[in-house]
Amino acid sequence: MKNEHLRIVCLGGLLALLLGGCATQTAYVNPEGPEMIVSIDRINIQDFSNAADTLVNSLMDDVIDQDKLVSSVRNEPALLAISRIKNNTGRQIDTDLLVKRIRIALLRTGKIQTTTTMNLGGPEDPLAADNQKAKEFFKDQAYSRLPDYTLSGKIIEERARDGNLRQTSFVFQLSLSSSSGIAIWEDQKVITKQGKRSSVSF
Amino acid sequence: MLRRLCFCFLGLVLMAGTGCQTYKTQAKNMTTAWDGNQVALAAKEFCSQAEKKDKSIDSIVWHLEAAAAHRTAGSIQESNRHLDRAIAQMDQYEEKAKVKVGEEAAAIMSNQQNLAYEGRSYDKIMAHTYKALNLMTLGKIEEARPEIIRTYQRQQDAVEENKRRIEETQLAVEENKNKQFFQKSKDNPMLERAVEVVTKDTEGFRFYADYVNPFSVYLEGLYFLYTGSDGADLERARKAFGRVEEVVGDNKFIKADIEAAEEAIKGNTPSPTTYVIFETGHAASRTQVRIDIPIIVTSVSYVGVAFPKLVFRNDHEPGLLVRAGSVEETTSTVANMDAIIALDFKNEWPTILTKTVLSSVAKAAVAYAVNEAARRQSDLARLLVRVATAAAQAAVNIADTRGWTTLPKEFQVARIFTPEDRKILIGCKTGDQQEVVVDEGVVNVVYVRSLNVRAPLMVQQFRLK
Repeated sequence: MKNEHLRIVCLGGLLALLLGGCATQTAYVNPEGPEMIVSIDRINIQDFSNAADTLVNSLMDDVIDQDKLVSSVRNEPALLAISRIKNNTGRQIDTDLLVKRIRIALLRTGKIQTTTTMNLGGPEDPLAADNQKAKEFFKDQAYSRLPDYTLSGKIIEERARDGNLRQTSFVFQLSLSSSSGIAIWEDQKVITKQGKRSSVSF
Repeated sequence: MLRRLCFCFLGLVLMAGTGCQTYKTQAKNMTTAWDGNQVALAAKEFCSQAEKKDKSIDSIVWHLEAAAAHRTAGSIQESNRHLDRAIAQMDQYEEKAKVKVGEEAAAIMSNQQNLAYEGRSYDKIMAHTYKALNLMTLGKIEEARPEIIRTYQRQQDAVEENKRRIEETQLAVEENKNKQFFQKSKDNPMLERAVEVVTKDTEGFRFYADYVNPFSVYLEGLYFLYTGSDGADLERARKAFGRVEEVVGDNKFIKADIEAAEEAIKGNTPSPTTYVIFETGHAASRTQVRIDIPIIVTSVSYVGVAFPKLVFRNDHEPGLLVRAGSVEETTSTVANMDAIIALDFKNEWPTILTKTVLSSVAKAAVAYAVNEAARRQSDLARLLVRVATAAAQAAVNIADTRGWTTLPKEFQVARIFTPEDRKILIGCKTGDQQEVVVDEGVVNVVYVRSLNVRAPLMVQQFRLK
């Protein structure tokens, strides 16, 4: 009888261990930290953050902090609209992963504002855009302000291979243009990753 | 002991041989509907099969079939859903190890169809090409850009993949313990005759170098010419048309596109143009050539090999007439999918031959061991064991006939000046003409699919500019 009980307890313990081992291990990870997954053939979230931070620092140093921005409306910050960010990579990506971080940083400076109703591809905030149009209609005056600057760019993917070793470089290029079409700032950030495909597994 | 051995062998073979029907047999209902121009039914059947087999080793090929069938039927969103699934799985296989020892060992004891279908080079290129076309048809021009770029990347990858395949095959022979029997089997005259039957059909094509799919490259040219916004895009378009011309040869429409690219680089806007892209016929598919040699009287009771063989069809419309006003053009071939598939098969052939012969030798060796172990039994028991091992081997002796069968035989193009009333007539030599009213736009694409000479034309269109 005792042996029987012991057997049941052991089996129960083993079952509990197995079930415990089968449970998915999930944990929070710092999105800026070294534990993030690095993929050779796609842009990871930390790559967008890295590129955005580098480019916004460059924009701050060369333009914002030098007070080079000129607003068309007195006593109001310059207005920025987002133009075309071309995706020249082999993957579908949301370019907002790059642009939004930049916009947030620029907005915080207090020296530049971004429009959510006038962007390439349509308004980011359709309700705000409708509101604007309604005001213009009822009060018979223009409320929309043309942007003083536009931000455009390109993300390019370059690949190379040497035997099993693969290398992918993602080049993030941005330009800030004035309303007269002159680029007043340009910069790029290159992120390169290398990796090997494992030879054999079972 | 003998009974245990027999049951083990038969069990192993039966397990490995579960579902031992060729792909061709499994797809029979769907391909019958497709061949009978019942496109919507074929799409539904392929879709149902793809859902059922989504977690299986054949998932990719079923999703590709469903994607092409849905695209032809006009269900573009459904087509994209299947393409996304196929592409995601192709990417997953690429990220894994090159050689999976367990899977290879299992396939040696059964057949190559028990290896996962990871997608051939032309599958990957066409998957992204169709995805780009689908997105353009849906008006998502900007989203088509990475698909076009991925198509180009896949063509570059194809050369490396072919190299890797050759290395793996050499390794498989060197490390095989039945190496000496492998070479003897390869030199067997019966096998050589079977090989000749298979390989003669891959000759006589004008192959495109380096896994180029000229239609995918042509589409790249069109896309960057008319949706590009800077010098880099226009230069890319000009280069793409140049590559197509090198590969395809003299084609007046490609010449006109090269000129259009050069004009665009100079800053000139295009004149109203309608492109007609014509997909015609059925691409080559695989069937099997099988040799069965039951040898009940010796300790090796069966020897058999089964090879895939390409089957080509010629019941396609050879060209499409396009008329706008008084101007008439006929579409001209840009890509011959049969040539692309034949080149891929020709490059894969050494691997197919090696793995098939290694597999036959391995199975014969095991059957020999089982039959030898039965020597001390009664005559009846010995005979039963031999028949059983022969039957088991025959059951798994099938070729890998998996492949994307709903691709067209040829891609053809024509370009014509868009008339003021925006009406063009299209038709095949063997059928009636039909009127197409071209959508608003400066540069439009009218996309036409014909499955065979009896089939009605299926027309879609999208605007490029």
